[in-house]
Amino acid sequence: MTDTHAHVVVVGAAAAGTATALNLRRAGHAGPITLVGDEPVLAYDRPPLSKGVLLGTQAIGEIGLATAEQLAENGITVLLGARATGLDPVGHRVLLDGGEELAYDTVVIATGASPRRLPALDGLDNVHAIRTDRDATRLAGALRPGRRLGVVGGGLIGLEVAASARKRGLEVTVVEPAELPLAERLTVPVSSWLMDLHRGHGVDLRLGRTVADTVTAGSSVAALALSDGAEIPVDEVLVAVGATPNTGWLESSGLELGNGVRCDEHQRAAEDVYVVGDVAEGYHPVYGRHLRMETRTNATEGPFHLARTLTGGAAPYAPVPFFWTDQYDAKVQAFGIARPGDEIEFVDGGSPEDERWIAVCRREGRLVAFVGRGAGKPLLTWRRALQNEFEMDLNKEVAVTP
Amino acid sequence: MKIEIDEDRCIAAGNCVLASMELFDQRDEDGVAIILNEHPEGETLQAEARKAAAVCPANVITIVE
Repeated sequence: MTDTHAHVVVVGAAAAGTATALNLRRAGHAGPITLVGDEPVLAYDRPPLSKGVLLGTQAIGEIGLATAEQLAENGITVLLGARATGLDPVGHRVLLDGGEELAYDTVVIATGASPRRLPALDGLDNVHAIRTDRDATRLAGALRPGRRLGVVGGGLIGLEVAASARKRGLEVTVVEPAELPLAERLTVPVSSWLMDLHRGHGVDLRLGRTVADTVTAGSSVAALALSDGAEIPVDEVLVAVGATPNTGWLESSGLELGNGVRCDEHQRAAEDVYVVGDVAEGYHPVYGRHLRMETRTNATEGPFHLARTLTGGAAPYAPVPFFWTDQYDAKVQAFGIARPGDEIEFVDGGSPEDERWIAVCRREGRLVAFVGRGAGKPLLTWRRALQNEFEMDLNKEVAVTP
Repeated sequence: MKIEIDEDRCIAAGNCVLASMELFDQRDEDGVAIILNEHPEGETLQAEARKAAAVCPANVITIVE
C-alpha cells in the first residue's frame, strides 16, 4: 500500500535521483524526502558534456538541473559529497561513508554508472574519461588546436568527442574493435553513413583494431600501439569504452545484481526498494527481458513513472527506448531497439546521404525501431506507431495473465 | 502559469507533444517544439504542461507558476 507520509531516501543525486525527488513531491508525496549524492554539486545535465561544453558553446553553469532553492522549497533534504557504502533492506537503513546511517521507509537507488577503465591507460596524466563536469572541464582545456587526440572507443560518446575535437581543430584518431561501430543500435546503413561522415571531417578511423600497448613518456602516453602493429602518436587520449553500473555498494545487500540492480516492471528490486536511471536493469514487459537503458531519456521517464507508482499508480514501466546524438551538424535520433536481421527501409525512398531521412526497422512485418536524421515532425508519426505496437503487446500480456 | 522553451537546446524528441497536443507542436522542418498556448488555464491543461516539462529529455521546458 502506498504511504504518502513515508520517508523516502533517494541514493544518487544526479539526473535520475533529483528528478525522482522532485517528481515525487509534485505527485503529492507528503512525507520527508532525502537526496544523497557522492558528487559535490547538485545535478547537472550530462549530454552537453561531450557536445556544447567541449565546443565552448555551453558553460557548466548553464546545465544545472535543479537549484538549492528549488529543492528546499520542495522540502527535499540534500546531502552532497556523501557516498553510500551499504544497504540493509531488512533493517531499512542506508549506510554512508562517514559511518552514519539513514533510516528509510522507501529507498530509491539512483547511483548511475561510471566509465569503464582500461588498466593499460589508467592513471596517466594525459588520459581522460568523460562523465562528470570536472572531466569535461579538464578535457575541454586539453582540446587545443593542432594537438593530437586519440579516442579509444568508437561508441556514441567517443564519436561525439571526436566530432567536437575536429571542430576545435585537433587531429583525431579513433580506435574501435568493431568493424562497424554502432551498427547494432543505429543499423548497418546508418552506421556506414556515420563512419563516412567522420572520415569526411578528417577523422582517422582505425576500425577492427584495439589498443595493444602504450608508449609512455614519463607519466604520459606518447603513442598508442594498435593490434595491427600501427603506432599512433598522441598528445591526449580519451577512453570511451562504455560504463558500468555503480552497484559495488550493494554487494552485501542481498539484492539481485546482474548488469545493474535487477528490478521488476514496476522498478521494484525488493520490498520498499526501487531503482531508476543508468543503474537499473529493469524487466521490460514488451521486450520480455531485463534491460539496462543507459540513456538520458530513461533518467527522465523512469523517475516520472516511479513517482506515480509510489503515489498509487499501477501501470508497468514500459518506455519506448530513445536516444539521440549530435555528430557535427547532424542530429540523429533512434527509437526502439534495432537488431541485426531487421528489415530496414528508408521512408519515401530516402538515403543516408540526404539531409533528412528516416530508416524504419521491421521484424516479421512489425515495426520495432526507427532512426532519423533531421527528420522533424514526421518522427512523431512513427513514434505513435511504435507506441501502438507497445500497447498492443502490453494489452496482450494483460489478457493472458489471470 | 507560463510555459517557456529553450529552442536552441530542444532535441526534438516529441515528448512534450505526446504529453499535450493542445499545448505543444513540432516545427515541420526540424521538429523543434513549439508552444501553442503559453498560458494554459485549468487544472487539466496545467497538469499536462507540468508533465511535458517533467518528461522532456533535454530539460528545456520551464514552467513559471
